[in-house]
Amino acid sequence: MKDIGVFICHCGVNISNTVDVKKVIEEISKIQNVAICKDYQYMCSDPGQEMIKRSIKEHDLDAVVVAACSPRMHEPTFRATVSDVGMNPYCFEMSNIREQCSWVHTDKEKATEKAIDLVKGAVARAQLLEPLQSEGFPVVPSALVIGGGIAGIQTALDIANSGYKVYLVEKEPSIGGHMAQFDKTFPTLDCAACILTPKMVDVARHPKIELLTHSEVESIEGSVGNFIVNVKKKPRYVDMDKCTGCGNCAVNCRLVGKISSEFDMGLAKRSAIYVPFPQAVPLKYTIDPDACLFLKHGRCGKSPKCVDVCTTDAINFNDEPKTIEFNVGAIVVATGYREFTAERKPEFGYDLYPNVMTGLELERIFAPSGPTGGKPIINGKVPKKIVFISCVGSRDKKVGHPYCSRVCCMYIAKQAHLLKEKIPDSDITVMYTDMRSFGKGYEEFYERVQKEGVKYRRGNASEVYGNDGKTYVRAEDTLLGIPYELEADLIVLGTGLEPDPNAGDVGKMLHLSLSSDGFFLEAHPKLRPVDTVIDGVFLAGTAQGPKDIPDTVAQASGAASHVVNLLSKKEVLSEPTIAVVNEDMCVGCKTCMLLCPYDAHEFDEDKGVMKINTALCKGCGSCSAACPSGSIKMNHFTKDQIVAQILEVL
Amino acid sequence: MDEEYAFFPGCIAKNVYPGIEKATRIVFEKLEIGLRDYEYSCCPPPGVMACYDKPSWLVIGARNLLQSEKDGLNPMTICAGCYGTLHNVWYALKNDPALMDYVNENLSKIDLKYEGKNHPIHFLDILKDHKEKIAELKELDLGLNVAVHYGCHYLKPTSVTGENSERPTLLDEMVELVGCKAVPFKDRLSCCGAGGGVMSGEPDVSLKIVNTKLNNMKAANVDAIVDICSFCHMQFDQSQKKLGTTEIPVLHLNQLYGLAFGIRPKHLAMHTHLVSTRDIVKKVKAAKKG
Repeated sequence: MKDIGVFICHCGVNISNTVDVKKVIEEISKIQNVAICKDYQYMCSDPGQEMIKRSIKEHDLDAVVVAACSPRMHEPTFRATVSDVGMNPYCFEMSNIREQCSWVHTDKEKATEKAIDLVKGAVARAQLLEPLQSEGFPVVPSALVIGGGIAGIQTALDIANSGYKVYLVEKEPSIGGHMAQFDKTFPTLDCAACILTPKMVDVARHPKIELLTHSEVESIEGSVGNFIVNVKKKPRYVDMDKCTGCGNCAVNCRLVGKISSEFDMGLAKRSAIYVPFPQAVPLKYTIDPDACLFLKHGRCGKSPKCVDVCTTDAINFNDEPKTIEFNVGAIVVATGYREFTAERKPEFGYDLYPNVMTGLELERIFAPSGPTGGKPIINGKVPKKIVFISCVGSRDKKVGHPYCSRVCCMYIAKQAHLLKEKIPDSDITVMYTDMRSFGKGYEEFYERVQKEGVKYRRGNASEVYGNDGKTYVRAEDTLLGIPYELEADLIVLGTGLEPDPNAGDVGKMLHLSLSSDGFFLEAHPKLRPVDTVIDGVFLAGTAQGPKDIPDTVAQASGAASHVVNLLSKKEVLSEPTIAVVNEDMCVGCKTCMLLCPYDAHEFDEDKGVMKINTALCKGCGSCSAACPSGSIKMNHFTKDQIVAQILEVL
Repeated sequence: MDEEYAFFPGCIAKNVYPGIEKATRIVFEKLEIGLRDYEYSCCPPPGVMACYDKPSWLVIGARNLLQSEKDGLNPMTICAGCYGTLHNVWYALKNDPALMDYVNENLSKIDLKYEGKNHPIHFLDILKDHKEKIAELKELDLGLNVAVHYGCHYLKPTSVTGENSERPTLLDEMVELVGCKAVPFKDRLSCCGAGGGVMSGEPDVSLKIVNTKLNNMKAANVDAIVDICSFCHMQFDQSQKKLGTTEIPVLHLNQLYGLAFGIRPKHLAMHTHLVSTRDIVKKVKAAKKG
């Protein structure tokens, strides 16, 4: 029989107001294997922890139970406490009498009774706890960053500046992401390109960053400290080493001005050989295989013009996809977002009326390098009557997006300001749901825009309709309580952010969970916003949820610091609370293999039994519960331990 | 006949606009779709009844639904209101076993039981699968410019109906089959003003709503209104007499098809409408000759 110490915390009055701690001590002290039972005001404080340490030494305890808050809160604290005096941390057991008892009950007598049962259960379990040892794995001192938008760029630079090698993978031919498409940024009106392009150039020049553009992650195996990554470099049909970025090929391409430019949201045309935008990094041309006449039909006039004019002989129509493999210790997912598909709100007539455009499209109209050279010309005319509709695809359960996209209120304010500046006699109305100008300097900017004459009317639009060549927006003014309608030459939809479906593959490779909004789920919404539940995998930017540039950059730096924390260790310790196969009993049915969400099961063909990859197993317990022969044991959550605990509670 | 439905005519077609029921029977016979009759009561209305006494609404709705359950027939409605009730009741009971238990507890008093095995369907959703046959049966291209009216309960709530309520196109396509054009007009998807008990409870408001809608139709210069709902049909027809301002003939889609199939207008009881359908009849006759 073990000697067990039990320590009951008052948590100030959080527990002791509802639970009679004295009574609990009285009852628990009666249990035979309880060598000592004490209480304290704040067990997590230094004196509280000292008391536990002293008791372990004085009574030569074999196991310790602390009855206090949730183990998610202080289990790590007390595990450290007991191991300070030489006890195995897995001989510590926590009983939650706060969240699961005192906080949710009002009847003191009954709550006390429940607390006694809970602690009794914990004692019964503590009797059966086994010491466990963590295993160490070496850490590969490099990182993979997936996504080359502002989040990925910032993360890569921060990690690389700490001296670690970074592989930055971007699916497009250039890094820059959505931020490169913006004209100016709110609320400071910095030119997006002016603040972004220096960072892009830094990435390209950094000796510690290996930039893999026009590339996609094909597979990721392994686990924290050593992920094995395969990246497919899609063929550019242009030799990166030879291309000087002069652009002669694009100007002379037979399809010049014929192919819709993705970067310009289809508002401008490019050639079949192109760079997405003039400041692209790397400034190397790419041939679009879906457009190029030579790649599609095997011939392009007498000979391809790009080949004729290229002075460095860089065109290579025989280019093929290449897969490269490398190892990294940590991964940052910075895959970004997609603009909401405006066609999904048919009432706004995005596909019917050419003067209805999305926020991102208007950004391109503003951009000096955009389709109109920055002039506010929509369908050949300068618009005078302009309506902005907010919350298109945000806060809208009908399209499955109940969340706020967090940027639209402010980008609408910025775009309204820019339009007013470019067209002073324009009449601009913003139809808004609620104004959310929460960031630093945002409210002030919103006020400034109002003072410039932009009209804000609360209440969202219901419909855009056309009649006799004119377009009208119908809405309700919810402050005046009246329906109204406005004629408009330009209607801008404040389209929100939604998860990028392309990110789904990366999510699957890494076994990442999604939150209900479809973005990647962080480990804790408040305290672990850059971590995921998968060790060694971190999140940055809008892949985790809608956010603006300042928040994205802050999170990117946060993710980078967590990566550096990890890479700076020589080795990582694995959690020993994982599944263990009893090879003598396993019949090799593979039931567990199908259930494992982490691919931690490997079948040993020679012995005909299952093996568990200790680095991959997260200890979820699915396999142990499902094993028909009962041959998988969950360390720290054995059947005996759980049953003993339940029997005491019942 | 391979295809057969339980015919739920609804109170208005049965008592006020017999032409809607008659036209439906004729059109479905031509299309070789069977209609079987049952002992139905009032649906009862989704606005008036469901808002005041939802439990009774569910029980009465379920009693109507169960009539044809044992025969394996789905009830077909020709009114968006009846559809709203039957479909919403069916949906609520299917997704909430506790509600189903409540309903059956009450139905057991009259020795009845509903199991939710059949499901109600609006006639437009049946006809959409017979477009070729309708085109085949068409004897005349009617050549009318019409204002189509979908009826709110046919489209909404979208979570239940699964319809595209912001830009529906089905009825537009269905009138085109017989050579009519669905003319765009302002606020074409707005309510007729009758539903939700407004017609009886707030007659002035109801008239105001329908007047706005009728004026928008008039501005678009339409020859007729085509509806798929007996209640909307009644609202458009009766209100015009009360307002005395507009004279746009009102046709249920099945009456329109009846005309296109060469049925005599009298057999479609079009002479029983308050707003004269004479102009339409003239145009049809002209189309026949041409």
